[in-house]
Amino acid sequence: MTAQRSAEEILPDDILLDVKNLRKSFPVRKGVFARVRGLVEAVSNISFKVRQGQTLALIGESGSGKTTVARILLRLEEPDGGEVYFQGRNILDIKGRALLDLRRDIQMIFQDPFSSLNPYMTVGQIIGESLRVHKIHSRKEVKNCVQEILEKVGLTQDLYSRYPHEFSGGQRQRIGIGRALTLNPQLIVCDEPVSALDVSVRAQILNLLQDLQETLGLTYIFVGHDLSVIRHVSHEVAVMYMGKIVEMAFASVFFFGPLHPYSEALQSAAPIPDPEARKRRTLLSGDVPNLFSLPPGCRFHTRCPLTKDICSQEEPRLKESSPGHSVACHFRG
Amino acid sequence: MMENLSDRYVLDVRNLKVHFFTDTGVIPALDGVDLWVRRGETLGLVGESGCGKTLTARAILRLVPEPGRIMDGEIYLTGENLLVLPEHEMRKIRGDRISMVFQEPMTSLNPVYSVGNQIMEVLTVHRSAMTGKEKKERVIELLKAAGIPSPEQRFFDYPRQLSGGMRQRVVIAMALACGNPQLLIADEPTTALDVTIQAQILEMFREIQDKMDMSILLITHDLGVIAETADRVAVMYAGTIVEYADVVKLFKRALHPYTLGLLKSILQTPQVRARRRLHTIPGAVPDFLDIRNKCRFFSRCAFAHKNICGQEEPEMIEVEPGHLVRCARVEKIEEHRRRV
Amino acid sequence: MRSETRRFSPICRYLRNRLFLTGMIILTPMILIAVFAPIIAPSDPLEIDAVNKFQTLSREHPFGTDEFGRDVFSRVVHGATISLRVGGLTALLTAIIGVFIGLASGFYKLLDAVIMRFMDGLMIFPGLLLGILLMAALGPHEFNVVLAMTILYTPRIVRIVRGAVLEIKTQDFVDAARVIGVSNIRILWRHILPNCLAPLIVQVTFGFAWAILVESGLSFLGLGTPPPAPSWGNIISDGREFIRNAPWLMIFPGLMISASVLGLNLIGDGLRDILDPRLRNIRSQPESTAG
Repeated sequence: MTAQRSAEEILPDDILLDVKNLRKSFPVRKGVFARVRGLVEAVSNISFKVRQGQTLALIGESGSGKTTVARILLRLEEPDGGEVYFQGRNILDIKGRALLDLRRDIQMIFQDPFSSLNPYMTVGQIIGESLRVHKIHSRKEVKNCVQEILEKVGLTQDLYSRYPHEFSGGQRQRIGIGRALTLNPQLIVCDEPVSALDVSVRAQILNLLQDLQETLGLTYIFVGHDLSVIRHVSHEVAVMYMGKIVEMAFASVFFFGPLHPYSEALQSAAPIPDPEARKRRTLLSGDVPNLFSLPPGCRFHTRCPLTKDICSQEEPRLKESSPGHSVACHFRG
Repeated sequence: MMENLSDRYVLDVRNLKVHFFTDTGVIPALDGVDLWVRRGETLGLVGESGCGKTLTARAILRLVPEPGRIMDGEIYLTGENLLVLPEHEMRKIRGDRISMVFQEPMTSLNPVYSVGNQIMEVLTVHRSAMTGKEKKERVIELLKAAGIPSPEQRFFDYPRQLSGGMRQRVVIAMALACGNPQLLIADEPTTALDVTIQAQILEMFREIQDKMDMSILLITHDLGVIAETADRVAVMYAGTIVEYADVVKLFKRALHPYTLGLLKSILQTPQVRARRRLHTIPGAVPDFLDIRNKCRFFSRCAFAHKNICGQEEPEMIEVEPGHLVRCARVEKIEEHRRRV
Repeated sequence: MRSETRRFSPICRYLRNRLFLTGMIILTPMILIAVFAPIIAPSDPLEIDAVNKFQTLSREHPFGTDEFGRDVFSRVVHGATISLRVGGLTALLTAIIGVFIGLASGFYKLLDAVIMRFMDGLMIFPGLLLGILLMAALGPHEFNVVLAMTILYTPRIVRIVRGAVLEIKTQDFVDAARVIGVSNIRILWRHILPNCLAPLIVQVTFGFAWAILVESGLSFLGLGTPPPAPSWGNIISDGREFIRNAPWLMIFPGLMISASVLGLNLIGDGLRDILDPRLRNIRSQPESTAG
């Protein structure tokens, strides 16, 4: 694995992960006997690519399906259809030993630094567990390796035998990052890794993630909803709304001028930390519709300021408006 | 000199001290907090988790959680000291003259009552003269004012049937149930919400305030929210206020090193180049048990001087009218600012 | 992060809890009596002395003698061994079996439906009634008492463990373990089990107390530990005919039963407070409530 990565033939736009037509629905159970009363489409026909050494941000609010995508990539959830190619190999149908090997390459950082660490395990056990499971090192080497990781994520070696409750949120998140790093993965899926943290700590963790990406050549999929955070970490972005990607672009282009009205609303909604720049924003009316009763046509038309008749009749396809910039809207792009 | 202040200050908190009596010792969680909220203004209370923001709000309502106790201080609500009131008088104030909006719209509503019933409960407690019908009409009016579509139907909905944003609107409707609260305490009211919903709720706060001429104490850790909504800001660190200023002044000419650190570590707006290194404040919040006899920020401060900051806790000084800082090195910081 | 000096030892936390401490003060002498019964008891509990029957309390016979002239004090002391042994064994067996079934039931959805319906089936009978039924079928023997009570009490442990597993398996650290490739068995063992121990230990303590009571009840009905073995239930059972003339035959074993059950229940309540992580957080991290 390491040999592959250090090899020089990797070009900046080598595709590491290629997701094609991913679909996932959840059954809705209701009533006394919990019968399946319908399906909620959490992820519908999603395709995207992630380049080696870069960060793709999956942007969306609650109910957009972004977390489901992340969980599918880690095989925590089985999709209903679609393919996910990692280094050219479909990872959705592998099992057993091959799946275990895949775990070394794709790792995850969780949102909640409190529930993501087992309170009954020491820091050393948490970070070292993957080494034991994959039988990579002897007992003694595991300790050395864990201590190395602790340094890498900005913690001191003497924390090895402490328990999670002795740490603050930021430090816990560092432990979680350390756990993801032990197996030398190539791709790390970060599920809102800083949204539960304080502002000053948030900056520390984002810096850490960026440093690790540079020194280890990591590829990230960064799931989040806070555009001010995403701006700092991403090379490319994909905006999701109700299970669909509505816009995909290079970060530089996207933050300069998003095309989809939903992306615009997201950007306008983010509070600006400058009291003299208070503005009238384009407020979205209403809430995200219930996934159980999807609106016909464009899923955003119930809240969209541009909506016309066609929007409730025909679903817009994601099409390229300029190289590397796609949008799904009847009027934009 | 304080006699006529009640006209200007709706809330005036002086030297508020709350201690926690734990197995490991007494923890001064609030150590002399001073706050003022003027009529019709929004005071933003900023700070990181664990600094005592929420505790301040709870202390104002006299709802300090176990094993905490209010040790000292005065809390004046339009000139009336809340800390000397008997509990039954205090109960009349809560939910009527002071209302509160909590962070988690999931847990601040009771799942077994319909939202209409829960708001009616507030009226039953504080406006016992109202008839059932009047109450119901009032609730529907409130739901409408809180921007909830088809309030007649929503009246019978249970909290779980509503989205997070709708729930927060219900909580706000509940806080406004008794008409004109003199003070609305909002504890991280938008932290649990999506950005587009957050924008809606903040907008709503502004509208309500314009219409009702009410004072708001807005507790948050998000300086973006502060910049958008507050008139004045109090920055809290480890159980005390370290800086108090007008919002524009704070963002332009912050003087406390901690405020400076916070401002620098916020993620900037689109204009700023992406993927740069972010500023961080070194170290972590100190242990409450060893912040005696020195500045609380001493161990993390770039401007600290051992003989000044390491010897005693600095006093709050007024650098200009309405701008107070708890720092002994203000000159040094001003000098540094001029050079940069 | 809390500094080293502010962490205090776990033993200290146990001893600060008044319920737990009181329970221990009551139970520790019981355990000592049970263990050292042969040394403490002045005479053989089975030794018949027809001349000295129904002796009242005296220096020679502190608790008097019974209808066969047996020393009640010795019988009560030896009864502690039997009662605590039966109760302890039941607690241990229910814990082991309950943990296995509970873990499997909470973790594997398909097994759950089957197991829980079976457990419900066991739980619909009133405890003592089913106990009588089982003992009648199995025949009186000390081990059969343990077996019957284990069958009776295991469903409660299973319910507790299963509930805890259902809650814990939704926590992120379980997913985190999956992501690094930890097998299901190891997840159950290393990640889920330690997190359900607190409610389990509390429930097992109550089970211990329950078993002492039920054993006495069964013995009293003549279905428990077979006489002449001096279990507390047996002693009471022997004495019930003479309650007017020789009340000491029932008072002392009765007191022992009450004391041990009380002690165990106090320990259980104390453990519930001590092991509850929410309560622990409030005590050691007050800042968390002040954010």
